[in-house]
Amino acid sequence: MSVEETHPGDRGKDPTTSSGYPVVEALDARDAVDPVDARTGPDLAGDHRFARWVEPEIEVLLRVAHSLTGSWADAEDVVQETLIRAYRAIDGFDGRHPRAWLLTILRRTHLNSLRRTRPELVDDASLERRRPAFGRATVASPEDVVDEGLLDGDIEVALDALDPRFRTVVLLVDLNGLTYAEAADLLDVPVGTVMSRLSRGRARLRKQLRARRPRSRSTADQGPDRPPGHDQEEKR
Amino acid sequence: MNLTTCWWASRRLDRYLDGDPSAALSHTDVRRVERHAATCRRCAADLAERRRLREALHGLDARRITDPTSLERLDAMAAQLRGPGPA
Repeated sequence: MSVEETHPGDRGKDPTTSSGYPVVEALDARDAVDPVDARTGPDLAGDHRFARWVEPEIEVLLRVAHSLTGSWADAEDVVQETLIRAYRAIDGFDGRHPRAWLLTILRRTHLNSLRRTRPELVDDASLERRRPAFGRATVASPEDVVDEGLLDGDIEVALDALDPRFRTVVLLVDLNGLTYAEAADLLDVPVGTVMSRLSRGRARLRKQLRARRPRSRSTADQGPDRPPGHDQEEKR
Repeated sequence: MNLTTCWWASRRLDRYLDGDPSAALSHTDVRRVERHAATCRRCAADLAERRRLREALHGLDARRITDPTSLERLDAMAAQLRGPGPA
């Protein structure tokens, strides 16, 4: 196993790898014999930092990228590039809030990829204009439907009907599990904006789902479509 | 039930459920929301509806499983980037 194969990321940092110089090749051979011991100093530290701070976040990054791009293939591309950038920048990262740091890199990466592929979309609102796709494959099967619960299919339809500004925030916070602050950083808007969009997005979802699915069972005796909203109730 | 309290509480239900560090309710406000929801049917129903949506969205997320092959490829790529040192 050569070092070239096991450390592709080092190629950028060390252009002398496999350069044909005997000394370098001797070092490579030593690394190949005992790569762990041979890696000392900043390299080892950087790799430890990467393993500790970046790798645990890969799944979140992938899910967030999926919320932004609407496709797993695009999401994977964005995360790949994010990982490479993060690896290059890890030595300058202080280790505080790795997720926020990675989301910032992911956001820039996503914007760059949009600039390459869909330049007409790139402006301040570009992140929010992408409409994540909700494919038929993700609609729940009947056995997934929990009694009294909401149908996944209904939720996806309702999500899809949301204004993209609201949908993105709901996806990031309620599905991807980001904090308000993380979503705000990612979208480059104030936390208050995230909160108000989240609140409005959720309110629209509740309204849509109420209309789609009259309540059954426990509330049936109180009449169908009875919204629990205060306003409605006050009018009675 | 006191309408002012209903209005006050309904504006805090999302923050109450989310418990997000950026906008955490004070302990006093948490208790006030809970006390109100315990005695006000409308706000209790509102809270329950918000909880249902929240759970449904979480459930949707759990079922909309991350593409395992994408994740595997990315994990492998990360491991390659950093080399075999740290596990």
